[in-house]
Amino acid sequence: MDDFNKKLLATYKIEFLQESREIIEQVSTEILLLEADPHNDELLDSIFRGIHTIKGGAGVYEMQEISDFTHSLEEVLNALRDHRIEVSADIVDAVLNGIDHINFMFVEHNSKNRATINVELVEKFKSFLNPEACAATKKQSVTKQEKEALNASEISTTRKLDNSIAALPAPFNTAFEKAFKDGLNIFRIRLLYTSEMLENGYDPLILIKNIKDESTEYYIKTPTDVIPALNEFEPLNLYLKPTIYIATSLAENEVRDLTFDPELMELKNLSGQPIETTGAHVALDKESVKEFVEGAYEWLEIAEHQVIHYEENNSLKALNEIFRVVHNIKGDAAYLGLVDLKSFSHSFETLLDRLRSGQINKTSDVIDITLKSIDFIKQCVHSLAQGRPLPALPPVFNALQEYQHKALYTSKPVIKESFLRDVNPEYRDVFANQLIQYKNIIDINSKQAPILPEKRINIIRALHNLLKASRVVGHKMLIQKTEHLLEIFQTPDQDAGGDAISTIVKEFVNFIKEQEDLPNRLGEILVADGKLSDDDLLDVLSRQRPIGEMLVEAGKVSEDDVYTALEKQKEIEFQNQQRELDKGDNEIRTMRVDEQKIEQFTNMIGEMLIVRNTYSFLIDKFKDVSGENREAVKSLKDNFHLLSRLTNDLQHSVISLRMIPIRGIFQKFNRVVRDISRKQKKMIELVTEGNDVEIDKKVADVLSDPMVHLVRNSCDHGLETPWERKNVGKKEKGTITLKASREGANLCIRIVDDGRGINREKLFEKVKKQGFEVESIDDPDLLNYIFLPGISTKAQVSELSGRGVGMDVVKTTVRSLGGTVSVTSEENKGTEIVLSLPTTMGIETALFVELQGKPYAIPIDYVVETVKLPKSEMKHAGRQMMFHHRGEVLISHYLGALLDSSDSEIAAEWDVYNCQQSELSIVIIKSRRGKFGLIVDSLSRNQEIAIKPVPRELAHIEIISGVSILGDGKVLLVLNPEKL
Amino acid sequence: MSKTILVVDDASSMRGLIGMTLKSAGYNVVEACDGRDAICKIELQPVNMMISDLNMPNMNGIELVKTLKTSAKYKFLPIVMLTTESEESKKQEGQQAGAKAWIVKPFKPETVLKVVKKIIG
Repeated sequence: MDDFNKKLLATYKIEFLQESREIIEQVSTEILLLEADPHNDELLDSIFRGIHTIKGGAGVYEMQEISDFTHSLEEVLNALRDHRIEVSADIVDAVLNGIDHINFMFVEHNSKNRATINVELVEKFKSFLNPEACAATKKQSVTKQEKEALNASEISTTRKLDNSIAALPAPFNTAFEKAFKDGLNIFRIRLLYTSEMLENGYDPLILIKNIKDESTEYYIKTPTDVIPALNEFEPLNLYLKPTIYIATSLAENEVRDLTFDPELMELKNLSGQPIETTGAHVALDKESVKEFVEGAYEWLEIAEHQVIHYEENNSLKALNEIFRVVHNIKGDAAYLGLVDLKSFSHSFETLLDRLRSGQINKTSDVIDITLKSIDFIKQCVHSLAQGRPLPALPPVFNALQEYQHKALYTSKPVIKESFLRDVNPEYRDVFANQLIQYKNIIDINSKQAPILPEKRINIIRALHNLLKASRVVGHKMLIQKTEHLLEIFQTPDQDAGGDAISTIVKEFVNFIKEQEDLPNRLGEILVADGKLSDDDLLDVLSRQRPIGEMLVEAGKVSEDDVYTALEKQKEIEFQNQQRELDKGDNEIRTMRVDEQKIEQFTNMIGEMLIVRNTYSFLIDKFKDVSGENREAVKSLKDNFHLLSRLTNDLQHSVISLRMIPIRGIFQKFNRVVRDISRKQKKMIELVTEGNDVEIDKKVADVLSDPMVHLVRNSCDHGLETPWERKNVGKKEKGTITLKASREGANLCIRIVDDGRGINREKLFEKVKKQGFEVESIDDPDLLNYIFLPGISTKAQVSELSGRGVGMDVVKTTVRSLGGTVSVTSEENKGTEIVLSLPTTMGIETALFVELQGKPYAIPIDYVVETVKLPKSEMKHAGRQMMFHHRGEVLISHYLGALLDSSDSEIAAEWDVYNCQQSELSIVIIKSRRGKFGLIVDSLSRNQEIAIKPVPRELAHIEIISGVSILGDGKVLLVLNPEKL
Repeated sequence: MSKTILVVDDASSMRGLIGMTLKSAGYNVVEACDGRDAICKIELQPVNMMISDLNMPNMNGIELVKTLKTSAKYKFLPIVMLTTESEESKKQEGQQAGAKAWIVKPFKPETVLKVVKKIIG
């Protein structure tokens, strides 16, 4: 079992870690959103839930430190949720740091199997919470210790069998005595299950069975005289309250452990008497009893007073006060081991609670029971103070228990929700209740017009009370109306307009009546009017029969027809249900797949494409087949096209599997930008564009760090301080824009700031100093030097950036992905950095060209058109060749010269005149630098090829953007026109 | 016939862990990822007991218990809530709604089994 558990934990731990990572990411974003929208409770809930899940999981998977740390973070979130504290920048900072630290702890835990708690942060979290809360937790831990001490002292008790055992019937008493002599523990157990528990599906028989299984001797006594006659029998009531005597080897707490809730069991140890034996215990006991007695007297005074208050004013506050007192007494009684007092207070508490939640109504009967219960507790306290044994449970205890499970719930007064919109939900029921009561009083007293003087007093009193209640809940409309009415009543010359007053009162009563949410079913109305009892209604309702049956009886339809119709109805219901289910399913239709599996899948499809291309090569070989085989080749070709289409679709699907919207990556930068703006006291706004552009997940992962670097750079170096910006006439708030867009075969990510731009002069000097050759300050290539290691125009190195490392890392990373980085900048206007990345391996159509007998491919997106040009049309201007094409002069290059960059002299010597052909084959290419012509030896066809990234060793060759394998197994280089 | 238990938690690792633990002890397990899902699943297959987390999106544990307990069909379904010690106030709310048994996180898989045994045997 242990082994199994370990394996189980290990399996789900991995999943948990993955989940946690996702949660951390999500929470980080959400907390930033929360800062902008501090009253968004939903967001706060979501954050809390995330952290909560981590906490719970960390505990289960034995990462105690993480669980503890997360707990302290959770407390802050909880306080935010309860509006005990408000969202502030400091709190957001701390929470963000906390989340970072959780992430860090996970990493640490992974490598070292333990993690360190950031004590500083924990202290910080605590400082946000009010000191009261801190004190409370402290107190709790103290009592815990005391309890342990108590338990410890209990163990060293002397054994003595209780007299009650001897009173058991014949064979059992001796059996128990024997068991006791054998060293077994003897317990008396009373089950405290209530009818409510039964109604909720918790079965006491299972506990009884468990107890029996654990006992050597077992005796159960169940008084059956409480079961009422059959006509009064309520099937959902729990009548039987058995008392069980057992002899067992289990210790007291082990027996307690047999239930899922120890409160369900009143356990008395009959084989030893824990109280009054050990010296230490008695001392502790006396001390706490004294403390309890002193406190309890005071509490009970208050409670009694509040009961009266509650009876008069229906004050919820008073009820809460009583509840609090009883709850305290229950806690202390449990602590002192006063079992009877505890169970009494427990029942009492339940009554109050049900009263509070409106499950039972306030009646004079209930108030009586409340007062009597308080009296009994008083008696108990009195006995305790004098050192006498506690009195036996009084009759009022039975009444309490009755209320515990008798639903005395009567149809409660209902007022339209819309009318109570502004009222605190907690008060709604109580308020609605009062409103209707007062309305009835006023209604009854104003029946006669003119209103009699003694009735007037009643009305005024009711109005006063109603006004008070309305003020408590803050119902403005009602306050106004009531005030107005009172004013009329209190004007001295009311007698003159007696009739008028009664009309006004009637209007008022009608107004309230309008707000009542009247029952709309006939039965309910009759019950509400007192013309029919609930039971009678139910009785009649149960006699109601299905319409089908009645129709058949009346001879209107045949039984078969009804049957078919019913079947149909069932089917429709089923369909509706199914539809609902389908809807539900839609929401959770994502699946987590191992990244490696997808990687493998992608590779396999790549291989498949290569194999497919072999077919196209093989089919070409059949070109000249004639006769019978001709048909076969034709169908082979058709089939091949089908295969092509399928593989293409497959390819696209697998690529789309790996694509995620760039939004997720951009979102991270909210945090980066926020951190910097807080640290450097700059005002920065982050704008993102093209959030829906999709990017390969792997590329996104690799790109994340360089982008952070670039954004930091822009914030740190690019953007000026608000003061500086104001001076040069810009908005105080700087803007960083992240843009993603698809441009041809490339994905472009732009990082744009509207800051001071790159200082060309400084850069020029610095570059020169480093020993690079730059012609002038206006050299267009000058800006690209910022990507070299060791170049930084920032005079001061800041914490964030400015050491000149980083930009070269950016360039290397981007290049390893087959992309390029470029920078444009204008002084005082801003800087723009463009990361241009090829969309990863995919099928692309490419134009095949030949050079010196070798094939090369040019991605078709770059090709404008292909032309054949007579040699004579090519003009020379110095080293450049150019030609006219559709009214444009285009520069042209010979591909061989471009590829042979090692020796530019030789390349330059090549010219059209050396060319043997009379016509030149030219591909007109459009790149970001403009249109140009590319002279090749011969043009071939278009073909779809699977382009793979350039192997790492060749990654520095910029003019190659990828490789592909041809049908005949030859390797093909795919040119990158941007760099030609 | 072995008994079926519905496990409701938004964290799939937690669901899996509890699920496997229960399966190893011979119970059938149905999983649901939030309150709403739980209600769908319970309609499809009757269960003998439910174990549910408190904090979940869409419909949280308390709401779930309240909803189930108002329906005559599920009134008698014993429910165990998963909670942390910091949720005492929630516990009361849940108990009122009709969830009487609790497992406090962090817990060991054995704890879950023990509690389940105490309730449905």
